[in-house]
Amino acid sequence: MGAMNWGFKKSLWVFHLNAGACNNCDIEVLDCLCPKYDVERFGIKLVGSVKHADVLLVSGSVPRKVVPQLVETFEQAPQPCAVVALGSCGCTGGIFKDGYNFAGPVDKHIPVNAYIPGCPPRPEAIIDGIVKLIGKL
Amino acid sequence: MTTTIPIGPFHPVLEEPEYITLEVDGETVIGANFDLGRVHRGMELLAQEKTYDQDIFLVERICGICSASHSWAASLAIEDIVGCEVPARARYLRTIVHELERLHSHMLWVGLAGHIIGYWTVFMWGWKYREPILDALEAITGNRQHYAWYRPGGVRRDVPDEIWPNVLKIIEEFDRKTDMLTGAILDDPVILGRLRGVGILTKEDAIAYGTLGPTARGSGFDVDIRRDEPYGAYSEVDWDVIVQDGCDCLAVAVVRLLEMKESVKIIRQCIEKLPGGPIDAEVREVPRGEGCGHVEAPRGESFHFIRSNGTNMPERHKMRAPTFNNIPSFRPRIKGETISDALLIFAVIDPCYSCTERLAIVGPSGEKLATSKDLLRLSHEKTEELRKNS
Amino acid sequence: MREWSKEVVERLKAKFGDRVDIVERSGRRAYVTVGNDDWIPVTRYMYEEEKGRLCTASGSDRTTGVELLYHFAVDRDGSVVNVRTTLAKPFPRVESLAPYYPAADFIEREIFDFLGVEFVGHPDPRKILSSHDRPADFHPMRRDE
Repeated sequence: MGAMNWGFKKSLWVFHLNAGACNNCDIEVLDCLCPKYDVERFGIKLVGSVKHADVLLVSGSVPRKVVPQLVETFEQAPQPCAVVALGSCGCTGGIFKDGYNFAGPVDKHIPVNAYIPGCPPRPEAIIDGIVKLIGKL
Repeated sequence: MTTTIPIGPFHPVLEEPEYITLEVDGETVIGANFDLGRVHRGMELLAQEKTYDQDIFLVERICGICSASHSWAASLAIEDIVGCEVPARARYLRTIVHELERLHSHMLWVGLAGHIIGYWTVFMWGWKYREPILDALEAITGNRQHYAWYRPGGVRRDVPDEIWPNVLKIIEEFDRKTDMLTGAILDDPVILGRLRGVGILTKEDAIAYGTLGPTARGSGFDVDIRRDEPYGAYSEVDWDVIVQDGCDCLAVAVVRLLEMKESVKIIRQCIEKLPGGPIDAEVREVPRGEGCGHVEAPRGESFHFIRSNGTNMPERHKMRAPTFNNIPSFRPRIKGETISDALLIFAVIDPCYSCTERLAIVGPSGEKLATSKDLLRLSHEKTEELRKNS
Repeated sequence: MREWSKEVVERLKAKFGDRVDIVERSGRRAYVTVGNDDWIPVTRYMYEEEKGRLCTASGSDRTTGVELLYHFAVDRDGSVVNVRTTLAKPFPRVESLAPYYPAADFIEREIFDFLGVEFVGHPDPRKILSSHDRPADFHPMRRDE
């Protein structure tokens, strides 16, 4: 285990980006931080700027208008920064993949390290995905 | 000299991508502009390519928080075309899920409002009390959100009677916690200082801008579809419409807090009165015609209009979420207020963009003066100041 | 449940006579068809005199032209009165309701965006939802192109 992985193990800072999601994935992400699941005790916390983040959590089906900002956000992230596609929309486009304004899914625009499917994924699934990601980093 | 402050598209407090530009003179806001469309997924066109049964799943995904409201409004529109009578048990089951949704949505708003003014305790409490409601929803429908519960003519699944005592226990506990939280919030001089007299929306403006839900009822505009055009079981249970005349952020917060009590009342009566019988009117065919359906979602009225041409897919499906009508009311609210209150005033309408962009203060020549976090910091500092002086 | 009084429909008939064509349906819905010239008088009457609340407006591209349908909820009655007019293609235009009733602002911008209907006199006639990189004449709900 390198120094970096050792650092990630106990403090993973997450930036969450809603790229055209219906809000559910985002609420479940916030749910993870709240008393019932409380991932902050493992050092996982949400940060307000992608420049502080180790993980970029992207939810939503990526409508056309949001693409430039999605790519720009990813480019501003310090490396290494793992990208997680959250929810059915983020992974594949889900029910919106035939929409005329659909420009995704997420991995069409930025490289994705982990996929967490579900509509919406349960908080347990999100935590499980992040834990598996830490093992992979 | 006026300065323009962009808020968004990705803001740490508001979860969805939204882009507002505030025009400010010194610290006073004199105007606001919106750039929408970052969550525009082309649903109305998608709906024309899906069958009525698939449509319900699609409209559920308009918004994660009001998924029950949209699917119910769409079902009502289809039932309006077909002209069928929904069985009593289905109406009660629909009402229970709808009100549970209102409870968790309002509690979520209370938490977020606490977060914006820098009260982490309110945020954590609110979201903690919300969690059992999600458990109750999961027990009834099988999922925490996106319930897949409504279908044209009734509900999709029946529920065994054994789960109701547990659901009742959860909402009684929630009722007690709401009382405690309401008392704590309305007793706190700092929270009152941040909310009272801030973001005034007069009754005339509320009517002219067509605002809905708690936003309208906090300004004395008495509109509630549950009473005006009773659907589900609302005409058969005893409850009150909460209207406040304060017109400010506090009035909207009070409406939401008191409405949770009413929702608990409705759920309790519905569970007690829950009749037996079929749960589905079995809509097989949708004839040619037009139908409208509207329900009172947690944020206001969700409106669906469907035109059928006799096939199994709608020819036109118009969906309108309450936030679409509520956003423009931000303009009269924000005029003359300070920048530190801008986020709070914006959050007071409980914006939900999926139902309908970065933050930096840019000087006249375009140089960056402050970032998104600074706005949040300004808001927190104001609370701190009030706290010290109180 | 209260009875649907239908007073609004009667008053509309009395005021506008045969310039409006009213179809009543069960479930407290009325569909009012008007000509393009009567569009603003009828919609303004619905808001200013009858205190109807503009729920929303739907536009759709039909064989006869672009159809506008404004949904007014009459809350004291628990009914919805829908006012409809059909605009000629290929360049549909109509007077805007937004100067009289701010609630129509956003929805008229949306209809302009999706169907290319020009609202004459709209205070802020810009596209609302479309991506900025789309061409100006891109209207996704138009079927003729």
